[in-house]
Amino acid sequence: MRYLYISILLLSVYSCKVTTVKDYIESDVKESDVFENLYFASATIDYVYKADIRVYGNEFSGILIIKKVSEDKHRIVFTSQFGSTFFDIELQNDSFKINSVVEQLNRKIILNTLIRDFSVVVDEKGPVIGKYYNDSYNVLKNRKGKRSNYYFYKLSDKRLDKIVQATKMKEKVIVSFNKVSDDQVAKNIKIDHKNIKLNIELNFLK
Amino acid sequence: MLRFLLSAIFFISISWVKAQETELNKTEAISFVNAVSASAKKSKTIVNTFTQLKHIDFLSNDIESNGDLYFKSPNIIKWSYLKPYEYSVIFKDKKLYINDAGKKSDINLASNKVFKKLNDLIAKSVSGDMLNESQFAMRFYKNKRVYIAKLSPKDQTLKNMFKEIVLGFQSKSYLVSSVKLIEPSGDYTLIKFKNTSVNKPIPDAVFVH
Repeated sequence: MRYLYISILLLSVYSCKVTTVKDYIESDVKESDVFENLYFASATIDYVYKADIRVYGNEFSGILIIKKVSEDKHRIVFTSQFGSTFFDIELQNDSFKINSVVEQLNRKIILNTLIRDFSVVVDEKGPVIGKYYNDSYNVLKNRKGKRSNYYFYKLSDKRLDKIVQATKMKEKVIVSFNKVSDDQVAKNIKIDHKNIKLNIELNFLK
Repeated sequence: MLRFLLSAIFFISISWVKAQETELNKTEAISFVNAVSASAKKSKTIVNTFTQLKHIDFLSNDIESNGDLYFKSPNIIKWSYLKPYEYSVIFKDKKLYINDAGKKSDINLASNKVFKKLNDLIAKSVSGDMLNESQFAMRFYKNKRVYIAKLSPKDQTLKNMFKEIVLGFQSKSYLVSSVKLIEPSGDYTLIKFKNTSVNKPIPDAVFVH
């Protein structure tokens, strides 16, 4: 009977790893290991994107602006093509401030999701609690509250290719960075939610 | 001494700029509004090109867009953006039709208070008809080349969107030459019109979604 418990326990421990880094080889984490995401790390670049947001069959289109306004703070503004502001938020470390938000988006669940998504997108570096690799990727795992973020770096050019946010059981969000330029700007970014019907696509405008 | 001189020059130049813009007195204001209204009534169609600058305080550069604008009296309007990406909106029959690089959608203005207000505002700013509106507190100014109308919304829906709307008018034709929408934060959108032609027929196809 005890063996059964142990095997169930082992099985469930094993399955924790299953979702995102299944078939990857685990390696030891060094104290000096940090994950790095430099796609929004320059304070001199205005990151201006055309944003298409699809949420439960509705589509919103507009201009999304991300700017690093100080060492640890990003400002994120989503406006219509006409120029009226949909939302304006500030992310600093793990806290946030909402400067403005239109009535239609002013719901806790929507705002929390947007804030969590964009925190992942702009988070520059942090500690690593797990390390994995296979033939194509080096993966660094970071913990954010109840969720873990897995940073996938391509072995070929070492650039960050995607971030997968997952709970112990399930993958929740995948952020992929595509068409990266020499000055570390991802010209195309996709944010895909696995458990809710929310997809965001960003295309760089300048 | 140099610093004093520089600040003196700075202040003098500020007051000089201010002096360029003088407020119209009551009689001047009435005749200006009448002239704009007469010009708006005569304008059955307006076609022009526009440049739009979105100014956000924390950005290094303003975001620039441009395209063509079509207006047909009394309230059909098409904004056809060419840059930074192709995008058009048509305000027609109480609906807002959007064409986002080939993806088409529409919004019913009757059920969307914000968009309806925005539509009325835009149609009336383009034609200049807005100056007869009672939903704004208005002040009028003149400088060498243009008349300026500064409108503060009284209506709460508009007030949430814009602190002030500043319209520029060509001094000879009384046609709108610029629209500046200032948000409560101070950030603004400035739209400048060029190559304006009035009362040239617009093919119906332009307003087809």
